Amino acid sequence: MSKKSSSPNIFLIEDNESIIDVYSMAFKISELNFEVITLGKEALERIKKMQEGAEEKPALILLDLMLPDIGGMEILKEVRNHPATKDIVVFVLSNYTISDEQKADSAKPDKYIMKANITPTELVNLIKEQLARAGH
Amino acid sequence: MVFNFFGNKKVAEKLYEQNLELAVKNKTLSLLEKLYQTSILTSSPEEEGKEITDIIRTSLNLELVGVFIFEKKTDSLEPLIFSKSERLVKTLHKLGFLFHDIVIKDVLRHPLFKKVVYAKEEVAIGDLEEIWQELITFERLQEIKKQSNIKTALLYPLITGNHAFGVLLLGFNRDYQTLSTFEKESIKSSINVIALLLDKAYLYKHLQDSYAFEKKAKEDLQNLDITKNQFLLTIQHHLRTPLTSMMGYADLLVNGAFGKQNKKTLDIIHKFQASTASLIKMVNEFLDITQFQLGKDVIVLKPGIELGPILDEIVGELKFEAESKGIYLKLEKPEKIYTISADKEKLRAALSNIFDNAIKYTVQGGVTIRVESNSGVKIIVKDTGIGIPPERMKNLFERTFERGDQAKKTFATGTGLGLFLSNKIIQGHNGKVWAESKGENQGTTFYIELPVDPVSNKNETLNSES
Repeated sequence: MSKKSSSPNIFLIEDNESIIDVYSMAFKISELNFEVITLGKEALERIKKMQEGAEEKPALILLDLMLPDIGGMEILKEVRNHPATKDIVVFVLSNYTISDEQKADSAKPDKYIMKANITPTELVNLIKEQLARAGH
Repeated sequence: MVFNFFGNKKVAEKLYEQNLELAVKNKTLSLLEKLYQTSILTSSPEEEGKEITDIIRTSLNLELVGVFIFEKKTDSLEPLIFSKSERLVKTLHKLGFLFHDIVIKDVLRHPLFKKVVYAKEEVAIGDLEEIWQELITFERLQEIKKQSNIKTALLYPLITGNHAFGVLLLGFNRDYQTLSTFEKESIKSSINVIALLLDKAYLYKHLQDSYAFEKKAKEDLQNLDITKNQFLLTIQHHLRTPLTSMMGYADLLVNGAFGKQNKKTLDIIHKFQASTASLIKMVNEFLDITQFQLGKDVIVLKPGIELGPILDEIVGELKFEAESKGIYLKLEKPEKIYTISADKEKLRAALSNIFDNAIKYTVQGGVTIRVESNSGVKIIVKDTGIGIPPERMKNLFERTFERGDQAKKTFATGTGLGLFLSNKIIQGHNGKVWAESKGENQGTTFYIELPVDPVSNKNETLNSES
């Protein structure tokens, strides 16, 4: 957090190619700085590094729940369970209806978003609102 | 005094006879008492049969007591249970077989059993051969007779209602002639009790079987339902993902991500967007129904929600649809502010469904929406449309995928999910919805009643109410 780049970094943790394509286009047009992570393991490694202070935290994590290797909830738990990362803003983006068990889980995202119910433009607006709120 | 009329000898004889009778009666009573004891437990026919045959064999000092059950369909006697004296067990063990394995087939052609089962008569025989005939070799039967000393076999029909459901076999080590009248009477009196006890055990078994069968059928159905719902949930996810990118690309196109589009292209993209949106809506509705069927809390109520803006919003969205059909859509402004506990998005969808429904099934005239106070708030949606016939009215909100005959003729593209879901959602708001119509082409009025927030606890959470 020592130095700020022009636009804060956003993690898009998502494995579906066409959704990555659509969101990437929308983010590029809006000049959002983002990084795509397609594997849960990779996401976990990055979060661990942040917890060790070896990496800067992103301003926002967009997290899919269905990843090819690790469930998104596990990643969310890792984020929330460490003092260094627990305050990172996480939007869960999924096309699965959130189960009652997930709702009852102690690790909570800042937002649940049903991908099919939100256009890329609306998502970009939500992201900008969040960044503005955080003072970026 | 009676004794004065008899000589001493005669008195002694009479006394002896009465003593014997008393002894037998005592024995009979104790036998009946023991049999009665077995009836207290609800056991399977095998267990009950075992108890009964053991009791009879030991009480009457018999070598063999057996029960056959008559199978009408196959006209055969199936061995249920045999109680054997120790020496008989030893003999059978030596010979290496059990009575239990031997089914007596073709009862109608078996002179002895035909008499017992079909004529319901009791039969006394001196030879075991008559029972098993060629089913057990002569040598073996001779050996059994010799070793166990069975001299007489009595066969009794076990009767329930007016048919014999089985046969009781008693094997004595005495000749039939040596059995006293009282002994015979005593045995006879216990037969009915035995029949009753076994019949009861079978009834209990049938009850258990049918209960188990029903339970299994119910479980199978429930499992099928779970599989179906899980399948739907997975399918919805698979449908939503490509729909998300379709909707996303269309959004990018419209918003100029690929340069400015000409009007013609934009029109096409708008149509594409509308189709995608309706597909997404349908998938969401399917999901909601699945969730309702899974019994999940789909509705999460929050207090302090104003009804007016929700109605404004829906009417604003549907206005275009009504106008393009050449009908009116009017919302009469409510006179006061109604604050309710609601799941805003879900309630909006439920009301939108009902208003949309009214527009869809109205060809001329239009739809008027007004709000009234009662104990809570009442929304009245009156249309001049095709109406609803009484027979359809009964289950208007109950079934999915069902549209009226008249509805099918109006080219409206309903999925039939709408009203079912609307009803569920409104119920989830502790409200109710119903419709009234004078019949086909007489228009329809939908009523939606919702409770309003009490003024005093306007800011309290009411989540627990659902």
